[in-house]
Amino acid sequence: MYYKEFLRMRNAVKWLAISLAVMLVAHAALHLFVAGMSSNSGGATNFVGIFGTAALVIGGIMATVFGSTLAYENDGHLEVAWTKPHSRTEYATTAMLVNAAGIMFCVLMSFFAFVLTWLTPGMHEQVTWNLSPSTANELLGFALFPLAWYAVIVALSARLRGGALVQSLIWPVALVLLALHQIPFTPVWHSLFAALNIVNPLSYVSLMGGRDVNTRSFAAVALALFALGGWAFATIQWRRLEA
Amino acid sequence: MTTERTVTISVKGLTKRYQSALAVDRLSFDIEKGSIFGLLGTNGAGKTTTFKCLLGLTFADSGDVRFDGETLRPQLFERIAYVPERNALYGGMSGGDHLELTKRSYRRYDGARAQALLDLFGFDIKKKVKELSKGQQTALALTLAFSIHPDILVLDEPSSGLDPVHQRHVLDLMIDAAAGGATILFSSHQIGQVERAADHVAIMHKGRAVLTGDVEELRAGEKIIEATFHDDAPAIAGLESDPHVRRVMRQGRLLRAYVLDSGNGVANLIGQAKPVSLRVLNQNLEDIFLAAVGDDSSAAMATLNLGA
Repeated sequence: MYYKEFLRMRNAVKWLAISLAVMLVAHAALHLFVAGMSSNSGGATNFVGIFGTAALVIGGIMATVFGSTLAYENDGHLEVAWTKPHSRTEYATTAMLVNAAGIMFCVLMSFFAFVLTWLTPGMHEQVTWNLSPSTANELLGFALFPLAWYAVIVALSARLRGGALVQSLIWPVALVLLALHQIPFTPVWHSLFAALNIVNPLSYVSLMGGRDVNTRSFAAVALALFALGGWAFATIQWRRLEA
Repeated sequence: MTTERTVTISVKGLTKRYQSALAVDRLSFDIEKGSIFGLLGTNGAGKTTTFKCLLGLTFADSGDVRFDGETLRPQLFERIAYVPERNALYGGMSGGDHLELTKRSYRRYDGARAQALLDLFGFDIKKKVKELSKGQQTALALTLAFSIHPDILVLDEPSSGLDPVHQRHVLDLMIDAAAGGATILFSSHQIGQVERAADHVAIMHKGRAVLTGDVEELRAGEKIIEATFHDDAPAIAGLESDPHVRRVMRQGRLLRAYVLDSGNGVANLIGQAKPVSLRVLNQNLEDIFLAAVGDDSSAAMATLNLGA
């Protein structure tokens, strides 16, 4: 049942691995041949920052790609998907779990690739990891973003035939909403954009980097709710679809 | 001696409406275990919608569908195979990937059987589905369906896009599966195929089953009297009102009467009008089908003035 999703994930992981390998090699080559690349910062390495970047960029991209999984089935394949000896709920849940696992694998792979890049010999002297008791919480928060992003896309596209519309619009819309919230408009407009950003998972990512534990916890809970709510909403729609 | 008949698929009062259009209208039929049941109908008659309602792919507005007395539940698909009219396979996956997917989804999957079917249809399983021709896609879908040794096969236009040799293979596979106890429900626009394979048929027209029955009994039940004339086929007194005449069709110089008995009496009546030729024919399934759906094309054909 999960084999099709497994194939899609395997293909994505393959291409991501190739891309990261090219990035590593290019970075090392630049470091060897361009002396100015050395930063010799000698400062502490922001462990959470690297993971956050991997989760936000790679996880977000992967979540966008795989968020159309149910919409893809709805684009002419329901006769195959729904005549397997599994319930619709089971099918959708399995597909989404495989995608979620694959996205997290991609995030971790990217994280280690970024760390390797960072640790290229001679690039940074005296590297020390900046770890604190709250690091685990912060990592969890960042890990939740791709899952929340994925769930929102699945939920928005579950009834559509192919998810290209949602996939192409969700980043611009989310970024524009986020930007509008930062602009000092009149209180009415500011409140409106603040309200709209309540349903924008990207707006919670910036809270993950804050110093306040309560704010970070709030953001993590919000992202977790997006993930669970999106999956539930997508499954409900999937159960009601007709081929 | 009595033969016990087991109904495998039972459909009662199935109705499906799409907005204002009634796609399936109070459809009822039973299919016995080990039989091949052909569903005939013009385009838009409701055949595919019927299949979708049966298999839970779309929700019926009313009616009851039972498989061996049970309502449909996902686990039953371990025993049911469906080949849709339109290719629903994944374009980016190869034939081999689809076989692997089937293997992982059905406990009944038989690799040796799948290989034998691949040899029969002869296509490259390394190719992605989107690179296969329509006929090869159909062949792959049929391979997947028959590879799980299903008890129930629902095949919507199973020979669509196939060449005549492979069409014959499909018929043989169906007959073989039915001989092994499988129950088959299929549709086809190729009436000759239905006539060859099916033992029972239902003819659908505008969502309703206008005729249902045993193929042999239906064929034996009526004769066709076909006559041609020098000029346009004349009106013959008493022909339409004859109790044995079910329907009369005129098309230019051609007159065709569908009669319920041996046809001798009606043939004599038509003979009095001095036709150029007069023949009493056994009905085939195409005649039965055209008579059942009203052969709406006859009026249009007549306007072409074929007899001029």
